[in-house]
Order: sequence, then C-alpha cells, then structure tokens
Amino acid sequence: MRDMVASQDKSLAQMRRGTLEYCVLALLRDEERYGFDLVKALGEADGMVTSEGTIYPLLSRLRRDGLVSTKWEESPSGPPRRYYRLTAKGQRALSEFVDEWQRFRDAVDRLMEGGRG
Amino acid sequence: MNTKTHPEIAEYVARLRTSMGDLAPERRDEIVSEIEEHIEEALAEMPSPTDADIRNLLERVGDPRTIAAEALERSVDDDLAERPPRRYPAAFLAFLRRHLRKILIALLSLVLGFAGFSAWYVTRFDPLHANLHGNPFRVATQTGRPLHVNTIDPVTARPFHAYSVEYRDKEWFEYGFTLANTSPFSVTVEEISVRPEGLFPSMQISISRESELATNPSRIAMRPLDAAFSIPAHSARYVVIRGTFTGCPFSGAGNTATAYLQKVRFRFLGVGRTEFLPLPYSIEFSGRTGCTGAGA
Repeated sequence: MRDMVASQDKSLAQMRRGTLEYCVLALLRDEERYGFDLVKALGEADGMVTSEGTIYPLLSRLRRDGLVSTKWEESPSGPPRRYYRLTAKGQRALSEFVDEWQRFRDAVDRLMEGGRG
Repeated sequence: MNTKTHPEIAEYVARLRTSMGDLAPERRDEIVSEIEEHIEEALAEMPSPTDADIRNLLERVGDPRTIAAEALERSVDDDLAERPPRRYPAAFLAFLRRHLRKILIALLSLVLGFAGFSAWYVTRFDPLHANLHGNPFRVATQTGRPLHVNTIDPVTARPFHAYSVEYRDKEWFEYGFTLANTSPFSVTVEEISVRPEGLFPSMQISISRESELATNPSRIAMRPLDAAFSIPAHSARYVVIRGTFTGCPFSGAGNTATAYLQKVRFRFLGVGRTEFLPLPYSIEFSGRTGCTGAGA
C-alpha cells in the first residue's frame, strides 16, 4: 500500500515537473516577470512548486534553449532585478504545448469519466 | 541585510555552490546568483527578519542538494563541468594529471635515492673481507715458530689471533688469509700489497684458483698473483703472502712494527678503489736476529 502511494507521488511529481516549464512560459505570455515574482506566482498555483530554488535551474535551461530572454531593470525598492520575457521561439513552444495539452487533458478526462461511469 | 552578511545565508549559498560542482562554472554561477537575488528579494519583504524567518525562508528555497539534482536533470551535456571520462586510461591519466607534482617528486626521490644508494654502494660498501674461513694458511716463518696468542678483541668481543714474529735477516716469513667477496657482484682484485710499506722489499703473493676447504696446505693449488684476477659473487680465494726479511728495518732496542691491515686495490662495479682490509689477526714484528754492522 505504501509502495502504491509512493509511486503515485512519484508519477504526480513527474507530471508536475513535465508541465512546469510550460507553466513558466504561460506566466510570461502577457508580461515580463522577475524570478522572485515568478516563483511567487507558481507557489500560488496549488502544488506546482515545493522547493522554490528548483525554479532557477529551469529558468536557466529555458534561457539557454532560447525560449526566454532576460534583461536587468531597476527596481523601485532594492537591487536591480533580472526580468524574464518570452521569446518568439518560446511563444511558439507554448502554443504548441497548449494544443497538445488540451487534447491530452480531454483524452484523460474522457477516460476518467468513462472509468467512473 | 543581504546574502553576504547573514552567516546562515552565506553558509547556505556556499553549500549550494558546492552541491552544484558537477555543473559547468558559468551555469552554476548563473543559478547561484539568481537564487541569491531571490533570497534578497524575499529579505526585502521582511522589515526585520528573525533567525526563524531566515531559516523558514531558506527552507522554502529548498535543500541545496534538491536544487543541484534539478539542475543536473535540466542540463544538457554542455552544461556539465568538463570532467575526464571515467574509463580506465582516462581516469588514470586524470589522476596522474591531478597528482603530477606529487608523482614527479616521488619519482625524483626514488631516482635520487637509488642514485645515492648506488653511489654509496659502489664507493663505500665493502665487498671484500679478509678472514680465516677454511684457510689452513696462517702465519709461518722459515725457522722458529711465531708466538701465537688467542685472545678476545676488546672492541668487537670476538676471538682474535695475535702473532708475534721475530725478525730474522734474509729468512722468509709468510701469512695467509681468505679473501672473501660477500657482494652479489664479482670483484676484480688488481693489487695486493703489504703494510707497513717497505717491510718486505721482495714479496711473492700466491692465490688459490678456488676456495676449497682443506686442512692440508699442500693440497690447495696456489699460483702466483701476477695479474688482476676476479673473485665471483659470494666466493672466496686463499691468499698467501711470503716476504723475505731484508735490510734490518728496526733500529734501536724495543722497536716493533705491527701489521693488522691488508691493502687491496680492486675494481667493484666499474669503480676502482683501494681499501685497507682488517686482517683476522695482528702480527707484531720485533727483534733483529742476523743483523750486523753499524745500523744494527
């Protein structure tokens, strides 16, 4: 029983992890954000982030892949902030994911409802 | 307050940096500095953070190992620190490179140590020893008998032979010993001469072909020593030296001469040396029987 719970935890964590980068891209679709702000927004979404620091390796990877870009901007309070912005490539990747995600979500929903009925 | 002034935060950042040792330095620096910025932002939101607030904040940021694991998972090959492949030769070469200084010093010490030992060995190690093992020849005179005393060497506490020989003009006198090569290399004996110098102007030196145990001197094949000869490793030759008392060297009553060293010139491992080998006995010469004239 415990093993089952553990494997469920693991697959949920993998699912979150797989979608996390698109959640980040989605948060940047309409506005630029700095790291702390991004992390806060993700933290508000239930269960997306358990350890805030793990977002930064992901951001670094997204920037490396050219899906986001950064620039420094003065902050109204405190030190300058590194702002993240979606690139054209990031926008394409995000819209592709959104299409895929809707199909995937619908398929999963249908199966879940069918299983219940 | 910033990430550098609070010890707990500084320690956290240091741990984070260490945990990400497997990442390429520029990528690691990027992630660490962004997390530092994150912590500073969070601190800026707290007017006067307590230690508990700091701990809580760092807990939210997460265990450095978790973040490092995430960074590794999200990495492509270029993001990883350049490391030598762990296959045997490369890992071995990396080990050599890392410890090059130490290895060179160790090798150098080895070489120098060996060279030093070799230098000491060929110039200082004594391959030749004069002893009595198996040798029936001792001290003998043409007429009369040498006085022989068995005693204990006061220094080495070993049995020691002391001979006392009377000078008899124009008569021969001889002594013998075993010349043993105790080294694992052959020794070339070039010259054997007598001390005190000039005691016997004419000397015949004979040497055995082999070292053989025999109690009867007549059964040992001796030949004159007229050229250099070599003694193989771990073997010995019998040497007999016969001189004729000439020239009445001792003037004045009570004058004596004592011989207890054997001068040998030899070549050992290509190095020519002259050593004075302690004889297994001492010979004291005294008296001047047969001497006449003014000097007598």
